[in-house]
Amino acid sequence: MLSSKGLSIFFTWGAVFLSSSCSYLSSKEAVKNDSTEIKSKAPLTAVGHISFDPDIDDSDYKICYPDYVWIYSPFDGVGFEGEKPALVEVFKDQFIPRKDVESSGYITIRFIVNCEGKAGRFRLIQLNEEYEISTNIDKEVVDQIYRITKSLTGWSRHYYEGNYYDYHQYLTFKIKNGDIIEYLP
Amino acid sequence: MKRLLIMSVYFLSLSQVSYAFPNCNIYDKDEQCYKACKEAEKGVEEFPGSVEFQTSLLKSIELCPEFAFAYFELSVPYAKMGLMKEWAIIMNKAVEINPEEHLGWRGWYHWFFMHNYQKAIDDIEELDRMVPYDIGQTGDGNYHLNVIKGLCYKGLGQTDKAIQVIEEAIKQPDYVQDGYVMIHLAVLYLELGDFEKALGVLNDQNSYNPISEADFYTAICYKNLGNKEKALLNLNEALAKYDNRLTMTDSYRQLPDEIYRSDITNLIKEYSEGK
Repeated sequence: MLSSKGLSIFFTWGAVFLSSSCSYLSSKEAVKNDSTEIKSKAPLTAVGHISFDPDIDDSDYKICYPDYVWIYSPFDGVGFEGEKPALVEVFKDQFIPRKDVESSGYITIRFIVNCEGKAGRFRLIQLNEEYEISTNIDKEVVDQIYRITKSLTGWSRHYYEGNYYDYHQYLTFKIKNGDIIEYLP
Repeated sequence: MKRLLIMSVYFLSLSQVSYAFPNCNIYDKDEQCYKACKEAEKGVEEFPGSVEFQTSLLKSIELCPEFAFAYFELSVPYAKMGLMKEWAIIMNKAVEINPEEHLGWRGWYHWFFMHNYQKAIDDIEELDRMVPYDIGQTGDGNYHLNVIKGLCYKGLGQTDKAIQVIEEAIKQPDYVQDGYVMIHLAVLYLELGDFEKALGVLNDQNSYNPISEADFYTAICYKNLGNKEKALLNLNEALAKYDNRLTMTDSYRQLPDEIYRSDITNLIKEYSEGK
């Protein structure tokens, strides 16, 4: 039998999932009634869909097909002009390690790349090596990575069957002793 | 040809993989778990992470809270979307219920998504202690789990240990040729300065699955052995293969020792300028 903690986890994730799917269900109805046919095989996202947050997101940032944001990157990990070496080079140029602080863990930044190849709706996650939320990573390290990520240009556009689509993307940085030691994916 | 080879490896390796969709008939005496299994069966037909997928799996868990498979499948889209906190909570439940089935997966995901090398090693070793049979391949069939363990030691900077573990893994009678293991061994030999040994395994790679990386690292070997002309020939071959998409590839991430076009062109420039 599921423990009380397990039941709590189950219902928590059930609630998160269902709440994130509500807007999806209503927008699906709108699409069905929309006379404009959007040819897409992108599944409507449920897990991890980044919805607009008026408190933090730029209201001018355009999602071309809000009901068809691809669930994850259609490229091999990362689609970027100059491929991954170019992306890493930006961080090697701009990131200043904080070697005087003991600061380790993972920083993940999730975002959307729209049909125009522009990134937006950034979400920051800091984890320790047990994948628990961590506040131990040095703030200056976090701020630098977040700022540099937001400034990146050169994201690949996702072309599929005659249209460019929006897609979710993430970058994960493995941090050790105040420095980025690995870039994922 | 590359796809045919890789698919052949995959299907051959299925005999080594302990994981498969559960046979729901084993729950014939437990109505709720049988229904849970059938619900999960329906769920995995949907796109992972979609509303329909998640709904079916959550319903499956509700019907049978000890049905580990449902937790496992539920966790996968979170990992693919960079939501590792959520992945870990759900995946840990699958491992708790059925460690034999899911430890290998969890270990692989620790390595694959987060390069969390020690946690991956711990899971793979725990599985190896637990079962009397070969622990088999990763879920995508690309690597034997003990090769992953070797790659973890590589990630930890323990080159000698990495070589030892991988060489041991590929000597086993049940071992099925991985797609890229020779590339990884070659790079490890290169790190130790053993260029002849690296060339040997790179030749094996080229005979099995000729990809850009094989020519790239072959070039490095020849350059270090004083043969710049052969090095440049191999780099040009590497570039041609790269442009024809004959490279290491994975849908979700960069693999260890994977190269990019700029790696090749930069080395061509460096070697041509006589550096």
